[in-house]
Amino acid sequence: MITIDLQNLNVTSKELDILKNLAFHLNNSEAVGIVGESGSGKSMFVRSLIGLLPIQTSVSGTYRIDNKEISLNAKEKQWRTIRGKDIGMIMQDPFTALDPAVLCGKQILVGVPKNQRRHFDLTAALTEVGLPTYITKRYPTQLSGGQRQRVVIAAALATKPRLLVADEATTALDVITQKEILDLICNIQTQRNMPLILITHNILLAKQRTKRIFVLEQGKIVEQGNTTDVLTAPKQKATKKLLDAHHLLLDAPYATGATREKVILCCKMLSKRFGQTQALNNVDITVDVGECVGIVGESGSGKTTLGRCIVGLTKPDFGFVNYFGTHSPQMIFQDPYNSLNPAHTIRYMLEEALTAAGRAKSELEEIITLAEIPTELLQRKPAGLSGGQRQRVAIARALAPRPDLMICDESVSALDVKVQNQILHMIQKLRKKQNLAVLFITHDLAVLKMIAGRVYVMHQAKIVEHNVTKQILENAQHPYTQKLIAASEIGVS
Amino acid sequence: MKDKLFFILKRLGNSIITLFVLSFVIFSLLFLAPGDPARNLVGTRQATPELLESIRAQHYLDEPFLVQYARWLNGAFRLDFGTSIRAGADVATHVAPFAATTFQLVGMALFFSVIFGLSCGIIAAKNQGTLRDSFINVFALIGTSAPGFAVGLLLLYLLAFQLQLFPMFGSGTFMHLVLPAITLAFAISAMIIKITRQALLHEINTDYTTFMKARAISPIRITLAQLKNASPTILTSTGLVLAALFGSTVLVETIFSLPGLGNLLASSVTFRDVPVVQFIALIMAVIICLTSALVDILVYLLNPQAVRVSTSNLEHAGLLKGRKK
Repeated sequence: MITIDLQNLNVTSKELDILKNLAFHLNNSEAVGIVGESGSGKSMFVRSLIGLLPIQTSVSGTYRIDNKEISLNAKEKQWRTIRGKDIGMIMQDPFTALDPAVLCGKQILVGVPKNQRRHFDLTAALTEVGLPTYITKRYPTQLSGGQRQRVVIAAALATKPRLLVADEATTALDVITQKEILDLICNIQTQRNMPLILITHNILLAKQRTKRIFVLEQGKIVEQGNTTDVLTAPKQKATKKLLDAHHLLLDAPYATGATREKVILCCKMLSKRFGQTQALNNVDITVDVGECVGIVGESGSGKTTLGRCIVGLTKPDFGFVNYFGTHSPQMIFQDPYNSLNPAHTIRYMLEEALTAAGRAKSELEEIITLAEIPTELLQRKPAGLSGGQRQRVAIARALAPRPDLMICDESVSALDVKVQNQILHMIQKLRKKQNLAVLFITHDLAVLKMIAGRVYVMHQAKIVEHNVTKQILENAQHPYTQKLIAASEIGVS
Repeated sequence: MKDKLFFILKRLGNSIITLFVLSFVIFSLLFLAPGDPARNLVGTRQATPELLESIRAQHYLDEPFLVQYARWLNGAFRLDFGTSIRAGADVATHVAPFAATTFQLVGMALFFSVIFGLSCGIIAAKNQGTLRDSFINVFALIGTSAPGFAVGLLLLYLLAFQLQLFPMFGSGTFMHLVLPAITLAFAISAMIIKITRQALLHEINTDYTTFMKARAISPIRITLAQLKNASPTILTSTGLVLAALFGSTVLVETIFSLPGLGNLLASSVTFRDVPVVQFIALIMAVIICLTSALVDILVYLLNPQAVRVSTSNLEHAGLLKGRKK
């Protein structure tokens, strides 16, 4: 049992308020959710609980653990008595949270207090998180994302915390793994009867997994209380906004398919191996002119390799890619933060793309109108743009050669729901206006529903199912598709 | 274990092949130099027809090139590198004392600079943005930009001439080597500081560091983990620096009048003492090959994962399952 009491928590960074007058109380073993958009201060809140705020921030407020006052500006030495022992943390990204150079078993063991290390039962610790014993002798790079997050959880539990904080612990994982990890965390919470703070931007996740909820907006708690009460009758705009954002996607009508007339892309028997792993296994797909086709599947199923084979970035071992367009297909990547050169202005990049496509620079106006980019952004560099704006620039750049086919590889998954929605609408408009065919690669069924008329489901390098989107979502035949739909909690009505 | 042995053997095998190629290039030096090889071997002596004839016979210069190379290589395996033109003595015996001086000098310089450079680099990275960090940075900047001979002369003037703590010149004792070693270490440690600081800063801002802190793992353990991850960068650059060191001792040896390899090489080139030049070039080739092999093996033993799988490649292939794209 642990009581946490925080009053008047203020965190500022360079005279910017990150958290304002925050009050938080926890005194029984329940699951508490803290929800808010990205940038609302959720992570800063967690970090102030264990004294891991960035160096440039200043913090004030009263903080009590079990009625013992703790200075929020305490020295490292004092924080080290709290970290791990009172509060354990599960990190967001399992791909970076573990030391790549150390065997997993040793990483779990190193957090165990010295006097208990000799009697620590690694097998039991791994069994609790659903991992076999041989994992102790593996390096993190040899494990999958889900396995790594389980190791992270085992490592966090090894320090015997009395409170567990999970900061967006499943955001970096695919839907099916996401569900498994959340089940695991919640099971541990009930079994150990240990309080749990779930930090998330996903309000549906908080709804299913927590008893009490705090809604954070711009560093302030705007609404709190019993989760069911708050979410069934939200009083504050911010809460409604978070809920709406999800419904935007969930309640969106099915995308309408184009009339199928002329084939623009036809792939036959595509196969590709990378060392031991088969990335593509006898894959056949066709895309028609002006049609939007979705490819869905978990990471590692071969989706990205397929996209890369089509644009010629990867050479298939076997099979044919027949493309009937007059202009080469273009690719939009997932991460708009890495796909733009930070040294150039937007104008320079787009003009360069036009020149490369053999068009006049004066045609800039046309592509920025299509991608809905305001003219004032042209003078800026990528650093001055939001994620959504950057993705628009990437799309405008891809439009420069007037492609007949655009391949979007998870092009909206790095964006938040509201911006996702805007970009998807824009792509739909483009498709109709330019008679552009789109191949949309995604793991997100909600996105798929909105954008694709037809869907191929990929699983372990093969196409396991193929149909019109509505049929796939409402009447899936393959067990894998059914599992995917069950895990994504998409409202198919 | 089997993997490790295989890697080590493979890496050493690589070095041996490289050395063979280098030995060929080094042997060709004699023939690449303009003019008649026999005249080159005469050095600065009077080139009488009798002398040229005897040199041709002695060095089998009339035989085909490859046969000569095989003969030379065969000798090299028995540590017979011919006779020094200048000293008239066996090359290996002639060069040995010079090499010993330089090895001691470089060894000491490396010891100083690794200890000093590593610790300063770690302190700077751990105290990023503080006064300590800027002080170390300024030192590193001076170290990399100050010319070695200027530092050497300054040290000589202050510590040997004014304070008389060290001998001015000469060789033979430990004290004679300290000042030259410090002079060499000055620039190298500055480089090691910069490399260590940068590599460590990268590791300090990682998630695994935060996660270790969040589990109250001791700061020393965290630093060790960070160093282990930064070790490929630090070791590889230090290896390169060490290799470059052997080629750059000539200035320091001249300032401190040390009879070392650098000096010998310079004067042998002037006197066209080709067998000695070949031998010194071979020593340096062996050292550079061995250092880089040693560094690669060390990096592998510390971080077998980093060598075996480059994560970015796997990610490209979409093999990192479970990651949301």
